[in-house]
Amino acid sequence: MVEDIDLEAIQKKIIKTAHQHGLFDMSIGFIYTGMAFGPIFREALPEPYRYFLWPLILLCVVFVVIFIVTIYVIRPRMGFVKPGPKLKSAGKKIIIIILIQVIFTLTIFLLPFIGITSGVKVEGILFILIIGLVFIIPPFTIIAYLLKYPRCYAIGVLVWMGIIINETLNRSIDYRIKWLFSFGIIGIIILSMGIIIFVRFLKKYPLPKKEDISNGRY
Amino acid sequence: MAYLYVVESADMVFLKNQTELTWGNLSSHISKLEEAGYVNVEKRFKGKKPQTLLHLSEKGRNAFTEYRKKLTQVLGKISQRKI
Repeated sequence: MVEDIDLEAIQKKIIKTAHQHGLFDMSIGFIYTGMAFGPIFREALPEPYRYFLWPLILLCVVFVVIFIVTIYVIRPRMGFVKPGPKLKSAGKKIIIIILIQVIFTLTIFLLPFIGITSGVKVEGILFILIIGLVFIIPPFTIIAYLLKYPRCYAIGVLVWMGIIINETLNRSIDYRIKWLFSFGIIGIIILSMGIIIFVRFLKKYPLPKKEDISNGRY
Repeated sequence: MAYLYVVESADMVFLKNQTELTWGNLSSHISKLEEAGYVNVEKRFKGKKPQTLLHLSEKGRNAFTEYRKKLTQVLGKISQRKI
């Protein structure tokens, strides 16, 4: 039967290869699990930067692991592709959105230091809604839409759930246990999701055999 | 060719995974497209490993665009007849 060549479908399929290995899921899961241990480990870090140092350490670990795994595990299995103009523009959009989000978040966090919002106290349901609807759901939704990455919607909701659990837990509980319970459980769920997808990816895409390399097909 | 049309370039491993063809099948397709001047094949080394990089030539891109145009016309006629 004669069928039209659906270039849109092919593009979607290629875009999906960017996240089918579960590395992004594992990274978010690792950062969230690390955050759960934050109140315990940051005690050992020097003042006054301990609140920034712990997330920075987690981010550095994630970037190094992503770099090594991409070069030595994913690329030999997935192969190399240089995106076309449409795929490049999707990548640029994501970078712009992430930059806007980072600048916006930094501005909001720096406002009290300048003295603009020093008298404003946001807590309870309002805090949960602002964090979720302004800082978490929009970037995850946009990335999910642009990268054709439906799992990202679920990750966004799970990340938000961590905040909800942390905020709604009884205030009499020690904050270290609260962090372990809220962010730890959610982090392990996301991390496990990523590990399962990564194992499936390794099974689906084994390394090319030596005879294929020696035959010049590689 | 459709895969190479939407990207700038790709290697054999990527095309094999996307098309789900066997190595032999993919190699013979690529050889024929290279003979026709539709695909440029560049063999290089990345570290110690060989890498075969492929991209559509200008001729191949034009031929594919033309082919798609004709296919769309044919399919349009078929659907009009059905109505």
